[in-house]
Parts: sequence; structure tokens; C-alpha cells
Amino acid sequence: MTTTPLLTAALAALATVIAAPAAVRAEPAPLVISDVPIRADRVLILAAHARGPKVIAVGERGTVLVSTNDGADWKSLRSQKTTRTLTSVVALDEKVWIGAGHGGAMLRSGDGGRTARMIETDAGSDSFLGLTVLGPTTLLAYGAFGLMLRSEDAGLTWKRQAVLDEEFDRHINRVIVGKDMLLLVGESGTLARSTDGGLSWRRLPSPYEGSFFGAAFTPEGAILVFGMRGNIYRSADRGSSWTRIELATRRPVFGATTLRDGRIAITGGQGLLAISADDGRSFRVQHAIAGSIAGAFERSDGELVLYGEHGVYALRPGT
Amino acid sequence: MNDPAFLRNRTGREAAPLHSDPIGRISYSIFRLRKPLLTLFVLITLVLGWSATHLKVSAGFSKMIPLRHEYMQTFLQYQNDFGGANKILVAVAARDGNIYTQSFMDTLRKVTEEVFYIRGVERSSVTSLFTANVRYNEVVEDGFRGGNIVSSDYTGTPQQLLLIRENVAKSDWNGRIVATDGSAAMVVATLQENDPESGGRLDLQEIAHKLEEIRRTTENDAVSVHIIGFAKAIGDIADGAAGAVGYFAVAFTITAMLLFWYSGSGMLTSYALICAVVPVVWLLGLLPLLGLTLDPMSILVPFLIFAIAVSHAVQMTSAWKQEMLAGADGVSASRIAFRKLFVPGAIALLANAIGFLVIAFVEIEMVRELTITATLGVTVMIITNKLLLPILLSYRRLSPEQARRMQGHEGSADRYWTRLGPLATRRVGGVAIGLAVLALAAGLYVVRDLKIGDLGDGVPELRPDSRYNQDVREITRRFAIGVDVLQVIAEARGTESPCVDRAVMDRMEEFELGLRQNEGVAAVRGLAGFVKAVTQSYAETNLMWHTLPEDRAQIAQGVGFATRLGNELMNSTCTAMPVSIFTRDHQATTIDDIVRQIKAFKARYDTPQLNFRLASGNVGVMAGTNESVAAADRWVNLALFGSVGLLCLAMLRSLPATLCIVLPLALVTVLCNAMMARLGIGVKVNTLPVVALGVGVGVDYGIYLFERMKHEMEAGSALREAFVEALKQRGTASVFTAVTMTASIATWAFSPLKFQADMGILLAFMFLVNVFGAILLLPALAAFLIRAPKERATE
Repeated sequence: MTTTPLLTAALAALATVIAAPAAVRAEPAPLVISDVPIRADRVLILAAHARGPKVIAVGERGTVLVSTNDGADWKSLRSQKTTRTLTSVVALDEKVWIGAGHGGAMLRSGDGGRTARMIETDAGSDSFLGLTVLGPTTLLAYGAFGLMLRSEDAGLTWKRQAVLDEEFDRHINRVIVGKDMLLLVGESGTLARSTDGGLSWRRLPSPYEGSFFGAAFTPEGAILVFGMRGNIYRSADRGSSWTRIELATRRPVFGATTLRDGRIAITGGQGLLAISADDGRSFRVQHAIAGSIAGAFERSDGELVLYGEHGVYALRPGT
Repeated sequence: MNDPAFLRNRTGREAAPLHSDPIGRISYSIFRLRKPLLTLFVLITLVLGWSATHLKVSAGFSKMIPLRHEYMQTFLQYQNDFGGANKILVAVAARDGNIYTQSFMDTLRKVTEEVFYIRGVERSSVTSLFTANVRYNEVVEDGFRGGNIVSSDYTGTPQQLLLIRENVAKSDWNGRIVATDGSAAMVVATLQENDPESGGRLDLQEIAHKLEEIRRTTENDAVSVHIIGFAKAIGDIADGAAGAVGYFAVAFTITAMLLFWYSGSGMLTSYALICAVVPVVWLLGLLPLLGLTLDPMSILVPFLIFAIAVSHAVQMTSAWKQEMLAGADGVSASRIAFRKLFVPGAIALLANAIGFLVIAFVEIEMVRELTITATLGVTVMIITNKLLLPILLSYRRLSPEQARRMQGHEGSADRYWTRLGPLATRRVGGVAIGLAVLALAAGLYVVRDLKIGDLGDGVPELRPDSRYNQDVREITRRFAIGVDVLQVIAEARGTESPCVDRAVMDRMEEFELGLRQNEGVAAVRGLAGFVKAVTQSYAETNLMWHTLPEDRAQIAQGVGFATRLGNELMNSTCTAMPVSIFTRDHQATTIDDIVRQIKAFKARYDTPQLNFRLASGNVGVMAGTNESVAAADRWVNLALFGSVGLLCLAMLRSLPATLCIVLPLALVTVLCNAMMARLGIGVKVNTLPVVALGVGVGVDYGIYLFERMKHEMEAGSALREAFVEALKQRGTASVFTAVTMTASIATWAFSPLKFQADMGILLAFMFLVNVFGAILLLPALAAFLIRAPKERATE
């Protein structure tokens, strides 16, 4: 990736990097507490990944929140390598964590999130919107304008791959892994299925022309896709046909997570939190919470950790 | 004035011809011309009294800010670009908690129209659910959709009310002109700089009264009305200040009663009062002639002048009475009283003037005006007290029998004074000093909590429970808006519209993120955050896209949206971008912490291409004022004690004696600061003058007392006897003076204006405690510092 003069100027904002040639950016550097420490409840957090008691959440301007007690307490760190907002984070094992975000920023840590270095890809300045782990060393990174990269070596090197066809230029918002298929959702009602581990994709009929922001498999094996203006659709036949799920709000839906008791929680814009106790066939909207909620995960004590516009915060989900 | 012969003269024991010294000669000619002088004084009083009726109480915004402070330079430079800070907010709240009823909407429409027609309101700025500039926008599958929240064909049907409710939820006006819980709605308007008809400065007080009229005609069982804004605050402050007349009446009555009890004579009481009121009339009459107005803050000055004038008049009348008792006729008694009191009086007034003058170290016009007003008042007082009163008295004569009958309580304390004698010995004095040191230590311990600036919430000039501050709380509770805002101007240079540069936006985003982390910051609104929100909207509201775009064209798109907000987020060339930092409160510690963080950011990141400048907004003004006050605080105290010390040194020609007078003052000053810390009163423009005034007035007691002691000791008395004698001659008058001044100043504690109450409490404390410092501590210090009279019998 070439470093534009603009980007250089932006990077100078972090004093440790005056100029940032590729070689320097590729050197690992510790994640640090910034001179103005970031507060876990006052920063935009877009993604979180829990691996046992260890949780890493990422977001605004290279913020990395690390918890070692299942999301109860957070340590706020920032990358010294990028000022771009990070949109996704995944772990391959105890040691290897990968984060990606806007402006083609990709960070890789080989020591459990103590240090991180920039990974050069040919995404240019296009935005990464998600990362999906397919195998012990296989991942997908995807995002704006049909961008999809694949790594077979635990995120060290990446290769661009085509999605659907050469002309495809919609944002890819999420790829989820099911028992025998991958599902891809994106801009303008884009839905696609892969049965060969993401190497090739087939478009699915779409029930909706607006954008899907995410998707999830339900405990019963059905698929939920959701997106703008409160639109949720459910498919019990691997995406071949869809049923619209009524939601008593037009707020956008950003995330879904399955709780240990089988209930499904969805989160979204302007404090949307809704719970389904019937495998996603209907949702009950919970009391309003301030700020947009990107997603949630369940803590071992049953508290739901929400993350979004107001950082991370925990609450006990209602029914 | 240090002529020893003169000092001896004043005891009357070594009588010299009355015209043998300059003071005597002056007094001689004064009393020869007493008729024309009296006529002149009456005429002046009449003319100035007429002039005083033209005096205006006014508070200008620019008068209240330290114009030369760095922050205020920024403020002034961008006043025209980002002015519009002079907003009024009228919130109508439904008592049953829901605005979506036909009757509420009718009320809101009525209030909107009434605000629209207030003269001085910038009509295009009026914003409410019923104005055309209030629209909603929503992102739908094929782009943006929008419209008026209240459609033009609104008639009040239930369907229309339901639609309004949905549109509000879609719009970003939710929380801004509609309460977050739907319980209230607001009419917002910006005021013009000048009156559109007269072209002169807008009369904010009149606007405040019109707003109050709207409240009066609107409020009922169904709705309450809450009004805030600079104009309303100023109006309420000015109205509160107008209540000063009532306090003056109370102070006058208290003083009159005390005077009568003390002097036992209706004649002496009324003469003293006349001579205390006349300088006030002269002062108030001179102000309009000099083109000055009376600031609400300076309203305290006429009170002080009155109180100080009373105290000097008491000295004069009692000296006159003593001469009468000794059998003098009216003119002679007046002449002797004049001669006796000219030096201590002049020194005392000089000390007062110094107290007033040192306050001018604060570079705020309002404070300077206070200095001018106060100095003018003291000058006028010298004329009225030293000339008018003796002349008036000279027309009266009493037989010794009559004089004795009006004994009053002047001599009633003598037996107590004798008991205080041991204080002038090392043994008892040592105990007193020990206690003083303990008090000092306690004071210094408490004073560590003393803060610069305002400590309460709401408008600090008004009381926390005033209607205005209640309205502030009500509006901030119901709406998602802050009233305390610090604005930092980001200045970008370079290519055309430098703000669309990714690097510029990146730095601004870092600034906004950093400030948001501050405990005292409730919200940050700036161009970078706005561009991020627009980017999210363009990405169909996907939160993932709440980010700065990578390329200029996309940033420019967001900036383009910002131009629809006028100059809220940037100027027309996009070279200056205000970042509004809404603070949790405006306590000095909160402001300090935020300002420190901004300064650290500047130190690290300011470049010629992009720099951040403090400060604008009401909190910006407070920050500048706090820094000016903190800077002046040191100088005021240094200059004050320096000049008072020099004054004592010049008069007494003795460093130990000067210390005996100044040290108790310093102790009381520390205790006053400790009391401020305890009462939660910060060092601010309003309280800074208190110490200066307190010391300026408080030094009188020490001067009077010590001057007497010195004289008695020169006449051969031991320290203890000299002290008791001085107390008998001066102590009663001093205590009476302190009580009188304290009583009249303390009436301010009930003022509707918080700063006046603060000043009243603190001045009362200073006036009262300083006299105890002089009586209890001065002799104890003297017992250790002053050598026995025989050893220093050189004069």
C-alpha cells in the first residue's frame, strides 16, 4: 500500500510515527494508553471478540479495549500504527488477534494483543467492514465496494478474490459461517451463499432492496438477515426463501447474538435492543438505551455486554 | 501630618492657637466662609440629585469580560463569524407530560408567534415546531426523504398529531426543540445586535420583560413556561439590582436606629445621616454627568460610601459633642473637631481609596468602573464629611447640661475596656498571639480548598433557587442541550477550503475524541463529528460508517451539509471551525481541567497549517475571567498590603508599629479566604474587591487605636495604660462603627443576586472581625514588638 501525503500528515498525529514508510509500519509496536486515556464508555466501539475470559473490542481511531475478565473491566489502549476507525476484530488462537478498519487499515498481533503491526494488503484506502475466520489459519477480510481478501497463513499475507462477478461493487457487510455453508450480506439487498469455504459465491434471491448490515444463524439452524429501517428476514431453507419478521420500530438493526438459553438478542440504531424467545420468529423491543448499539455478547454471568456509540456497557437482558 | 506638635495638640492638653498650623488655618477660613459654602453644597446636592434621577443600571456583555485576555481576543475576532450566541430559549412544558395534544400545540403556536414579534428578535432565526425551518430527514431505501415536521395543513386532528410525533422521532430536532421524553417543546430565537428601529444597542432588559410577559399570559394549569438566554439573565440581574433601593432603605433604618441609640440625640443622628447620604447623592449624580452607568456589581459601592461616611460622621459628631461638654460654642467645637479628625480621617480615607484602586489590577471594564465609582465616592466623601458636617454642626450649640442629657451609650463601654488591659502584657498577649497563630494555621488549612471562579451551577450572578436557574435546570433536564459551552476555534490554512483536507479533519477528530474523554465534558460538537454523521447517513445509517471518509470529495459532501446549519460549525471560507465543548458544569475545577487538556493538545499538535485557539462561549469567557482574576489576585494582595503598610510606615515611622497594624489585617484576610472556601464562594470578579475593601476599611481601626496608644506612650504611659486609654477614647467608636457598617452591609445577604449576597456576607465578616483583630491582637503584638517608652523617648 502506498502512503499518500495526506495519510502521512494524519499519522503524524501520533507522535511516535513521524513519517511512516511501509517498513516502519510493518514493525510491531506496543498498543499504548494514549496521552489522553480513552474511557471505555466514551468511544465508538464497533466490534468485539471474546475468546474465553479474554475479550478484545475495537473502534474509533484505533482504539483497542482489552478485557481479561469476560468484559467486566476494560483496559483502553490505542494503536500507534493507525488513526483509522477499526470495524472488526477476530482471534485465531490465544496469541494471534487481527483487527481491520477504514482506510485499508489492518492490524495483526502475534502476542495476544500486547503489540500490533500493520499488515500490507492491496485494499488501498478502501474500508474493511468485517473479518471472518474460516479455519485455523484461514480468514476472509471484506468491505467497501465488493472488496474481499483471503489469507491462508493466519493473516500474514492476503490475496484479493472476486465475489459473484467482476462487476460486483456493493459493500460487503458481513460473512457468517454455518454448518455447511457461508452466507454473505451487503449493500442493496445483496445476499450470497458459498458452499466451498468462500472460494465461490452464488447470489440468493433477495426479499429486500435496502441494505443488510448483518446476519446470524439461529439455534434451530435458520438464518436471520437484518438491516436498515428495522428490516429483519428469516429463512428456514438455507436462504432460498425469506419471511419478513415484524419489528415494532424502523430503527436500523446492526447486530445479533445468541444467548446461552437459546434466545436471540438483536441490537441497532438509537438504542435498539430486542429479544426473541422463539428462534427469531418474533422480537420484543426492550426499553430504550441511549446511543446506537453495534452489537452485543453474553458474559458468563448472564449479563449482556453491549458495544456501540457509547463504548461498552453491560446490562441484564429482559424478556 | 506627622508634626508631633500637631499630634499633641489634638489631645487638647497643650492648647495652641487654633490658626498656628496649616490645618488650623484651613479650618479658620472654612468657617469664615461657612454660609456661601453651605449654600453651594445645597445647590450642588440639588443639581446632582436631579442628575441622579437619570442614572441607569446597565450590564453590558463586553463590560464583563477581560477584553485583553488571549481567549477574549479569539472571542472578539470571531464574534461576527460565530456570533449569534445571544439566544433566547422559551420552553413550554406540558404539566401532564405530553406535548401531542391540540391544546398544547395551540399554545406552542401562540408562543412562537409572540416570540417572532418581539422587537429585536432575528425573525429568520425563530425555530420551533411551527416554523418552516424545522424539517425532518430520513434515510430510506432509495435515498433521503424529508419534509416539515408540522405540515402546513395542520388543523389538530389526532392523525396529524400522531404524524408530528413520528416526524419528531425521525428528525434530529428530537432533544433540541422537543424534550427527549416528549414532555416539552421549545421556541429558540437569536437576538439582533442592535435595535431595528432606533439603531442603538438592543435593550436586553426590555426583551427580558417581554419574555416575562409571554410567560405570564401563557402559564396555566396545563403548561409551564421556562425561559433562559443571555438577555433574560441580564434582565433578571438588572431587576434584582433594582431591588437595591429596598436594601438601602433597610440599611438606612438600621443605621439610624443604631446611631440614635449610640448618640442619644436626634439632631446628631440626622446630621450624621444627612452627611452620609449626601456623598451618595453626589456620587450617583456625577455618574450620568461623566457618561457612566451603574453596573449591578457596582451597586454595592453607594452602600459602602454610605457606611464609611456614617463611620466618619460618628467620629466627627462625638468629637464635637466632647467639645460641647467642655463648654465650647458651636463654631469652636466644630473647628476643634475638624482639626482633631482631619489627619486620622484623611489617612483612613486614603487607605479606603488604596483599597479601591488596587482592584484596578483586574483587566475587566466592570471592575475598572467599580474602581472609578468607588474612588469618586471616597473623594466626594472627604468634602461632605470634612466640610459639610462641621459646618452644619457649627450652627448648633448645646449647653453642657443639654449635651450631658444626650449622653447616649458612647461612654458605656469604658469599664469593659479596662478589663482588656492585660492583653498588652507579654503573658496574656502571648496567649492571644498563640490563639491567633492557631487561627492562622486553621485558616491556612481550610484555605487550600479555595477555588478560583464560580462553584455553583446555573447563572452564577443569580441565586441557585432563582426562577432563572430553576429554568436552566428544567430545560437541561428535559432537553438534550447544554447551556455551558466552551468553544475552541480550529484555524486551518492552506489550499482553498482547507477544512476538506483529510489531515485537517483527522486532527480535529482526534481533538474531539480527546475532549470527549474529559470527565467534565458532556458532549462535543464539531465539524469532524458532523462529517462522520453525514457519512453514516450516506451509508444508509450503518454505524460502521460513522467515520471520516478517505477522500476530499466525500469530506466536502459532509462539509456541504454543514453549510445548511449556517455558521455553526465553520466560517464561510472554512478556515475557522468552532468546536463546541458542552461542559458538565462551569465550576472552576471543571474548566481548569478542560483548558489544561486543550493546552496540552495545542502544545503537541498545533502547526502553522492547523491550530486550535481558546476560547469562546460562556465557559470560554469564564475561563478567561478566571485566569485574569487568578493573575490579578496575587497583585491585588501584594499591592494592597504593600501600600497599606507604606501608609502606616509613613504615619507612624516605625516598622514594629506597622507590623502591629498589618499583621492582624493579614490574619483576618486569611480567615476571610478560609470562610470563602467553607461557604463555597470562589475567588471571582465579584469577590476579589472584598478583601481589598475589607482591608482598606479595616485598617482604620488599627490606625485610630495605635495612633492614640503611641500618643499616650509618648506622654509617659506604660503600654498597658496607653492601650486602655486608647480603647476608652477610640474603642467604643470603632466597635460602634464596625457594628453599624456590618449591619448595613449584611442586609445584602438577602439580595436576590448571589454575588451581592456573597459580597455582603464577606464584607460584613471583614468589617466586624477586623475590629476584633485591632482590639485583641494589636496590643498583644505591641507587647512583644514595641520597646518600652523610656528607651525610645527620643521624639
